[in-house]
Amino acid sequence: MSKLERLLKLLAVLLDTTIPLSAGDLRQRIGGYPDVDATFRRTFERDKDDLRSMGVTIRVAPVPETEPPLDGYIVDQDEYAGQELGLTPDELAALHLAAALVRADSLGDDAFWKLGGAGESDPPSTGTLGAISSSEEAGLLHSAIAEQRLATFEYGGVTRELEPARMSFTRGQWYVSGHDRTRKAERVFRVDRIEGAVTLGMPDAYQRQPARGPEVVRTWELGDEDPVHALVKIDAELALWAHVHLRPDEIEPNPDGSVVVRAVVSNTDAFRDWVLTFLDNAEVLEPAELRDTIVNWIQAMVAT
Amino acid sequence: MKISAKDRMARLIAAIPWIVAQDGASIDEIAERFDYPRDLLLGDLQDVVFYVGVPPYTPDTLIEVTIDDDMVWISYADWFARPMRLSGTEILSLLAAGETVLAFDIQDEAGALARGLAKLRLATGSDADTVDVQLGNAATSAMVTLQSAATNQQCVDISYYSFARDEHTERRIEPNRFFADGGHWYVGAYCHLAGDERVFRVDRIDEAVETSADFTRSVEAADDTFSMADAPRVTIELPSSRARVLDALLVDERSNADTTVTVTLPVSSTRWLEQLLLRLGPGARLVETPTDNDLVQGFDLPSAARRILERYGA
Repeated sequence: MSKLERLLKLLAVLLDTTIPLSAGDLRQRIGGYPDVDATFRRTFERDKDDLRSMGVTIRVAPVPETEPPLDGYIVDQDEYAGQELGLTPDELAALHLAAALVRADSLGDDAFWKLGGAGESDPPSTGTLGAISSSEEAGLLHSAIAEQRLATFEYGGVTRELEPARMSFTRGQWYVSGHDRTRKAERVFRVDRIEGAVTLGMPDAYQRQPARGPEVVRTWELGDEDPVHALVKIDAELALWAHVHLRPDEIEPNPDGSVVVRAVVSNTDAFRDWVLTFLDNAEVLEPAELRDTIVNWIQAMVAT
Repeated sequence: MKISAKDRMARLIAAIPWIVAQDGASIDEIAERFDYPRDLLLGDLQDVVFYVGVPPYTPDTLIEVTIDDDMVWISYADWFARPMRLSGTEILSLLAAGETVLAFDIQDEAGALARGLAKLRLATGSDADTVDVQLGNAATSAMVTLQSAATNQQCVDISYYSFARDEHTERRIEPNRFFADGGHWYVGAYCHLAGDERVFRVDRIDEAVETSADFTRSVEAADDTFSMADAPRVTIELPSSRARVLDALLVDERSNADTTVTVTLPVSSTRWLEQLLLRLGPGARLVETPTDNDLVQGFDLPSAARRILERYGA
């Protein structure tokens, strides 16, 4: 029996069964597995790995009425099968083109096969617009928002319990924002900095808050220090840059073209990092301790 | 083309429900949609799928495949009646890609993309506010002007700030491609001032005005990747604790030791390199710099540090 036939039969049997089946049961039902026990084991493990790497969730549960309990395997039909999207050919083609335009790395051909297959689409004439890569954690957090599941994870050495509300992709990274039950406040987390695994709770665990306007992620706000209000002057030559990170109501223009911006700092390292991108074209006006942070940092460099 | 058993499997479990739903489909169309070489597809349907089923493998528990001329019908494929679920990552990527293109207002006159996205959101419980994508930070007005000019093939007059030279210049450009990298939008254009193709960072364009002058050059097949191939390279060693500063940068090579990270990266200007090293802090050092390049030759970190200290009166 070819490997392809064996894999298809294995999946069909796992989907068809209503009780978990042991490796021995599966071997007997599918036929075509190697006769030698050790070889069968290896082949069976590889087949399971192949199915899992395709995205099939194989549940492992004890086989009923076995003592000691044997591991049994089953695939839940509703967990396996997808949402019926009912896309028309032009809608599918438009999504396919969009994926090509932004070079979505985590979106392979197989995603489009699941949607009914998409033929070749013409490469975009303007070239790609950029790249969006999505990690497994980002996908998981997004599904948590859709189903209002609490997300628990380690971040900055603290266990967080988050009511996720929004995913933002900005400056090349995914961020998740929402109500942090641990800190009892709205928080933004950079998804790739989450330490270890994200675990999700039960659906409908919280009321989703209406989302605010587009998220402007400011690194100096991503911290747990007590917030400090800072004023930074940016020279006219680089004043335009202030608009990259700040909202208009946070920017005060001067007659000479320079601007003074207001920032609420809860991550001093990130704030210093941002101010230094302007070299000597920016100056922290207040508070004194943040001025000192910049001066001390530079003096330490000069000293070495 | 050699396709592994696993890859053929992924195609088949997607193609079978589609063929069932179509109530018959032509071999050629299946081959094209699922990127399945025609002969391989025909062989797999006849010699493999035909024998797939569950015990006791009587005709009513086997998939029925009927092939007549160039058409295929499939029935009794109950376990494969529905396609596999999209993964969370795939859903998020699709939404993000779709939202981005929609926001960019590129050719969706028939509304197909908007409709497709709405269906995707409905099926996955996402809504319009859940995903926000900003590929780059750029003043939207300049972006809109450039995009419109590229479509109309009209020249644009821009006022551009060059970080490398710390100066503003007025230029006429013919924008032909857009891309985002590291959180910034770039436009590739033929520049009249330079007499050559140039790449501009959109957030450094102070002002953009679409003119009524037509493009002077035909737009070649656009190069779809932004390359800093010609930029000089430097190698920097830094403490691992400072590696976060590199997050949004293009890095060619990176190697991690116990407490340090060594990276090689392209440098666009002396000033840029100075601010990078000042941000990296006391533990960072230049390991290697090209000697034959003006940009890096003018590099003077102590002076840059001194100018900052002077500004603070320290």
